[in-house]
Amino acid sequence: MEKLANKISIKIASELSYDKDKQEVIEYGLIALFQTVLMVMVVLLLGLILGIFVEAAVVCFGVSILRKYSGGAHASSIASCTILSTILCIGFAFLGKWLAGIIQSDAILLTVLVLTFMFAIVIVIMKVPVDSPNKPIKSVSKRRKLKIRTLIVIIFYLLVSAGLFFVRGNLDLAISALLCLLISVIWQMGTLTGPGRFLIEGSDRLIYRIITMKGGHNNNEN
Amino acid sequence: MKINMKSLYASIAVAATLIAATVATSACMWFIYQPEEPKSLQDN
Repeated sequence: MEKLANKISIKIASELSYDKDKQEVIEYGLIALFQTVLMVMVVLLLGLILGIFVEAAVVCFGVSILRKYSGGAHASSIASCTILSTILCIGFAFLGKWLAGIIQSDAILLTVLVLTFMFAIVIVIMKVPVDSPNKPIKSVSKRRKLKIRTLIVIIFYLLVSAGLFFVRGNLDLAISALLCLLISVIWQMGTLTGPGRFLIEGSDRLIYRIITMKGGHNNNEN
Repeated sequence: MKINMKSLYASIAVAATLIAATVATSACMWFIYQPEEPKSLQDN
């Protein structure tokens, strides 16, 4: 995918007489576009096939919107990212649906909701944003902006969760969507902590080993 | 209808640049792979 983005950007740059800087920006934008389209399509399609479309969509968008502002640990290649993100989105969607079936008490649901957002706010204050070596965030004002934006997203999720809690009635879908949103927040905030980072990096290494055993390759090596 | 290739390339370039600029104002990409950010988009 990176190779394709590179080829397209070089072609565009040569046709439009762009310099190296502009070509790199186009390549970067194309990688972002390809990665997002691929991930959303794979997760939603699998969600549709497995009968967890809404739950998978909630996890997919819930995690990625929050991640955009909070940052977090990263995979070493697009292939590894696609596999890991798909497993997590589908796994969490199933988990949310399953938990919706077993959690019958409103008190438990409300406690989980309150604890999730308390945890999220603590992590936002202490850790956000978490940058990566490939995209360092040096500017103090940008770090402050990202922290505020993450907090706004968390407050928005809190309002959506509260809305789902109050309209749930006997709607299993509302409860599973609520639980999927809470799982997304816990997971994304968890990846900003040491153990979360360790978990992602360990899974990434494992997937990389499996990919290379099957004759694949790491995008970073090209 | 013949497609004007230059216009097509320009449209892709504009769309890709807009997406790159959106990612540049974020902490990272939407999913868990983050390629190296171009120097012209980095904040110093």
